[in-house]
Amino acid sequence: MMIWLAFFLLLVGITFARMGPSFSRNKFAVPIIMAGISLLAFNNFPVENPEEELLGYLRGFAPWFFVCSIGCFLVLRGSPIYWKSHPPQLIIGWSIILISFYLNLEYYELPDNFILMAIFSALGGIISLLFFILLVRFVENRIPLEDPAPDLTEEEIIFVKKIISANIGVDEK
Amino acid sequence: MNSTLLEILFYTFGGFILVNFSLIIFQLFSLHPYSKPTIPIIIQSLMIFISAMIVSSLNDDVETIVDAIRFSLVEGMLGLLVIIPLLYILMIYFLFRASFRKRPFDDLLDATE
Repeated sequence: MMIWLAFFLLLVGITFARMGPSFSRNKFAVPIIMAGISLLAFNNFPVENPEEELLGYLRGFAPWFFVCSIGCFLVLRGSPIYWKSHPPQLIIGWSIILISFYLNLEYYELPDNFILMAIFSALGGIISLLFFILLVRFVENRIPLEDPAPDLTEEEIIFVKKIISANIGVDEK
Repeated sequence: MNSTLLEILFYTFGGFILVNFSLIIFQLFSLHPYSKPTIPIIIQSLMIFISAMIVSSLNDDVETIVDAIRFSLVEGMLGLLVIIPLLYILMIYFLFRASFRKRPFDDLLDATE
């Protein structure tokens, strides 16, 4: 049961992390994700099959995955995406990625039938996603169109001008 | 039924149930005044139930619908987790290219500093 609670918390956390504008995401996202990860990492509860199989797989998967994710994050921050690069972050990031390769080779083992697993699970996931897109399209198409928005009032025009002027750093007039 | 074919069906239903389940949670927890999740959630829940019933009828080890959903979610997760190392290899290749590329000097970006 604890595994499913952890999975649920991870999903809720990721959902929250996608909400709101990119510069101000939901503040509960990180604590909820951390709670989910903690439940997965530090659970001492008796686990039965089929969850035991999943936990066994995660024990080999998690070490390299987290280390590699941290390395990728640092490399991404250090890369010259906006013209300037940050060599310390790049060097540390690539070192961490190399460590994750070691962890992968040491602790992680792909299942025998991994190609079958990957192809057909992905297929199921893609079918579900396409189905969801069709459902959303169906629901959206049923909503009648609203009337065109009325013109801005004099007060609203002044307000919008103020915001735009402040943002582009010029005088209002 | 052939065991390989059964495995293929379990993984496909696993991926289907897992993604449907995730999308239901996503819709419930990203609710806002303009979202209309009722119909998608009801139909997706129904699809999960039907898929679990099919899995339950195909797998003798599974006794109830809840067990079938648990079994399918695990199969789906294992299947999707197996893809992640391959995606990471692809991502590391793009990160490698991004790390060492030289971009031409941009006056506009320089002016914002």
